[in-house]
Amino acid sequence: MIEDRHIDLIHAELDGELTSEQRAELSRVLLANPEVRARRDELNRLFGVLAKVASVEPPHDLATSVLQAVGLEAKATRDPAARAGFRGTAWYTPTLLRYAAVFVGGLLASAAVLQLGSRGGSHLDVSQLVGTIGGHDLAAPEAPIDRIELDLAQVSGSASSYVVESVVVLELALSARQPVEVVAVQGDRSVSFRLAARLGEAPEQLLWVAGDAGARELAIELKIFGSGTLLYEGALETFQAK
Amino acid sequence: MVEDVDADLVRRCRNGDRGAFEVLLRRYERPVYNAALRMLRNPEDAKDVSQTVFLKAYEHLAEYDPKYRFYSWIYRIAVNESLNGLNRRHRLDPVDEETTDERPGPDQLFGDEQRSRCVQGALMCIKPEYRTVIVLKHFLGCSYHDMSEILQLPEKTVKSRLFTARQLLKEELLDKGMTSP
Repeated sequence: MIEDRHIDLIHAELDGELTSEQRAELSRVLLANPEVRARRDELNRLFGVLAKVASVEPPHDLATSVLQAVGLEAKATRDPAARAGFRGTAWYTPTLLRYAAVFVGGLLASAAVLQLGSRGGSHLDVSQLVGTIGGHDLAAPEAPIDRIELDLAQVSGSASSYVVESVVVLELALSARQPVEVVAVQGDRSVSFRLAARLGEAPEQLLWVAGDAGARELAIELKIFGSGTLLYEGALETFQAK
Repeated sequence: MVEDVDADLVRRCRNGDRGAFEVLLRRYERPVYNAALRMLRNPEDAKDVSQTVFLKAYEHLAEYDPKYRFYSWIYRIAVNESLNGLNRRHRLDPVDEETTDERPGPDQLFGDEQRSRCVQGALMCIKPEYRTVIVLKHFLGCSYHDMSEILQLPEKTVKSRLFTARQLLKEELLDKGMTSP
């Protein structure tokens, strides 16, 4: 015979909500009562079926339509960097996109600066920031101000901070072995994006135009989450002491 | 930690950092859309509901009480809007649209897609109040406490509803030819 309390314990166990005393009680009941064991197996199978229902990718224009409706342009979703998984706030923020872009080509082997001449412009296509820069003047490569090398089980690669023409830029080159969420914060600005697991592929290279000269002395805080757990927390300097 | 990030983003939004709203939107578009989809089944309806959820969140962010977790707040909006969506649909089309035969053919094995369709079909056969707790627990990963906060019900009621919902869902799955649950 199964008591209601036993059923409650089985559900609570599979829901991960048992106290240690309840766990001990359930263990005793499971040992003694085959009916309870059978009921638990049955419930466990239901959990298994539900766990196999895959999460669905939201429509690609969902976020864009919401942002447009509230008066925020959603250019990021149209951009190559966004399609690669970038979840940015600053790509299209006019005050941040005043001068510079950095061309990422092969782990930033050559950091190039180009004058976009868009100071005060309200919209800037991010495709100008990442990708081909043919036709623009190139500046000399710059060394990062700070750099973090990551070699975690879930994600590896590097994060580097630059100041390009008074603009603070965070460059990430990351390979995820399982889905991770990256959050970067500098002062009152933040960005968050997800990286899908891409085994055996080259690192995904992403840029965030973090802040302007006024924010230069603020470090960029970097956090990486996997399955809701903090995997990494660190900070990148954005100011080089003379 | 995730809660800290959310709290920080909400604070930034309230202080006028409009970009922080986009970050919140990107963080929650997937769970909100999936919750709506599981509640409503129809992807277009789920998209409409998700849009409404985020617009309401944006409009009412000033009313959000930071003593609660942000995800509880936005999931509550998602649940309420999904239930409203179901009511609207029922008023517009009272014919039961949820009677699609989800059973596999005689020789058809359950693949992932078939299984998902079958589970979705079974979900649509149980009452929305039961579907809600299944969605919150199994598709959004909420704890009893979270669900109690979202549904504004005592934990005891949440648990009882969840246990009943599982029993009903299991019966529906069996009825649809899934022998394993």
